[in-house]
Amino acid sequence: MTYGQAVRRVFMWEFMRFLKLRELITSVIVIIALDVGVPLIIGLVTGESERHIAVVDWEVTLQSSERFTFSNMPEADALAALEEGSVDGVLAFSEDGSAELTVQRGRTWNQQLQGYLSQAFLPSRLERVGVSAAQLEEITQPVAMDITEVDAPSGVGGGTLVSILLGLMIFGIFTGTGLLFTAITGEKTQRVTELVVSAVPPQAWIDGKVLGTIAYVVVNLATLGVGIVLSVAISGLFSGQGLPPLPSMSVDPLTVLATLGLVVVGAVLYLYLFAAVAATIDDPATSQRSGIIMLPGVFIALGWLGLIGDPGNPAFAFLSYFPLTSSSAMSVRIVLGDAGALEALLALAILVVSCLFARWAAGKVFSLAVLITGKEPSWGEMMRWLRRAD
Amino acid sequence: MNKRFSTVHAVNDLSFEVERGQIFALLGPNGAGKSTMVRMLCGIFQPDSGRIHYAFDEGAEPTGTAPQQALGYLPEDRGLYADKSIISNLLYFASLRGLDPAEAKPRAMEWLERFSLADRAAEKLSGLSKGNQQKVQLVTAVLHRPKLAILDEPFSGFDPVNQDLTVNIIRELAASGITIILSAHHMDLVESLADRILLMHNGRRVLSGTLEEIRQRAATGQRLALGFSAPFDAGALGELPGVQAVVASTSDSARLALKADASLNEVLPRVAQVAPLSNVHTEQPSLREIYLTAVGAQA
Repeated sequence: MTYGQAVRRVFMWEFMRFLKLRELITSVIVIIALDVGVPLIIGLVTGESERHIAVVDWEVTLQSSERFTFSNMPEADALAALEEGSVDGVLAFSEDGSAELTVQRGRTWNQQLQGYLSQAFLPSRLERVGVSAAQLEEITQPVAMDITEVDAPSGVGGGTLVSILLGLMIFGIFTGTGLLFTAITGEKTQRVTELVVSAVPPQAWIDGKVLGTIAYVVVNLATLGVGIVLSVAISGLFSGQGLPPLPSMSVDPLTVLATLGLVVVGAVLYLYLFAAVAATIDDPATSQRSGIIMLPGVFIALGWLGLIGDPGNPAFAFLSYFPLTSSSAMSVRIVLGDAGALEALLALAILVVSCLFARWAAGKVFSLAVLITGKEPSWGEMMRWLRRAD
Repeated sequence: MNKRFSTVHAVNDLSFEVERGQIFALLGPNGAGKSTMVRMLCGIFQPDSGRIHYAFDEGAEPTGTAPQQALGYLPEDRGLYADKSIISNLLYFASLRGLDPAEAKPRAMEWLERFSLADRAAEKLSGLSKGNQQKVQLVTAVLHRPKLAILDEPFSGFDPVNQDLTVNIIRELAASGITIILSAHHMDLVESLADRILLMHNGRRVLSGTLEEIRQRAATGQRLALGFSAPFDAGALGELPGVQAVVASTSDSARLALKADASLNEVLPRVAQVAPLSNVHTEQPSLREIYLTAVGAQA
């Protein structure tokens, strides 16, 4: 059996090992339910109904709206109506223009009524102070300003693109590393490792594992995408607005490609590193190393900071070349126009070389650590293994 | 070959040769170095010094590595994917040994039929008893019809009935041309099974060869089983010239280990002087006795 055949067979096993069609369909249904069903239920639960307000001893009849209707009546009748529930509130006006509202405890629409009354009394108030409606409109008019954006076509912009890609990267890395941890520590606990290593080279095993994990993550992301598209479509149809238009992209294809390359290679780098770390763990329940799984999130978030901070400062420039942060930091610099093509290529080259080195180192550590049970090799031991490796 | 682990010299200057089609047994107590030897044979560990030469076909040049499909391995630390089905496990490991799933499936079902597990093929492995999991593990080692099957402690975890079944299967595999290297500490089972034996202690060879050769090289005397028709003094028997030890005794019987150079014709009249004999027969020393004697002599 060739090396490639060994990798392919491990890949298929690892991919199919965790892939469950029923769970994928369930996750699509859950996404749709969350996106469509939950707002519907919240709307039904917190839905606003029409409120009847009794206005006490007042000569003016307030104009009713969709939310509030008003009836003028004597105070005694109004309070009796409130008690028996035929009105929701009793409103009494003073001569100075202020009002007193009597309602059952716990009503939440008081502010809305106040807002409505303010609007309703605005013309009479303006008249009292001698300001016409036209004058008011002129006073409240915003300062005229024409905005011309250079090179800013409409559609999904660079910031949005990089946020989406890095979000997907974090999702993929957490899903992938979680899966690798479960798979590898499980294999060690179940004593499968020796049997596999006797049949395939450890490097082929880890390569197959990482590829299988990537395939699984891609299927999961695709499922998530299908769920989101379906839920948006269903929401549109339910609301009567129809299907929303497809978003257009305002970023040039080369930028998309460079960012995608950084994100994918960065994710693969993390998966190799974490496969090696997982192989060193003896008992996942007690190992301190299990917490390392959170680190990629921190590193990727560091790069993301460029979107809200200044991507041009020297520290951020360093992060955009450092392999553990370059996938996010350089992506941010590219889409914000802070890095040129050469810089992007240099960061990508460093990342690819680092990824190849990580694959080699992970293979060496994995081949030895995966056979060790009962203890965890120290970081120093692992470094010694690498120094002695061919 | 040599292999060290920090302070332990697990395999110490060990050399041996296994002929095609033989059943070759590595024997020794826990910690003798058998499993380390087996792992080096499978390519899991590399020896610190020394080399393994494999030549699977008649006239073939020996090579330093064995093709994966030529090897079958039953590890001492048993383990398969407990959350996957029996048949999935078998097909996966067969595929890793280069066997096509279409070919592997009918073979796997034949084996499962033999172990009365065919109707449970789709069940998760975790649903099987420990003994049945052992059977599946054994099938994993031989499903792809390797040229060399390396079985580390193949009898451990089995009840006597399944130990016998395993002995028969190993014999059949050998008869079909598969070379078997097994490690064990069940010396009685190995005694009846192995063509050649290597007795190990602390990583070193103690004795090796066929059972007959080992008996000769061990220079262990015969065993004498005696019946007496009157009470006797077991201590007096132990002090007789030619008697190495009284291995066991009851009120009317005793079992003596004779010295290697002791003559039966000289020992028996002396025994008869201690007490009147009712019956006598001789026995060959068991492998276990030979091993204990040899290790005792080394110590």
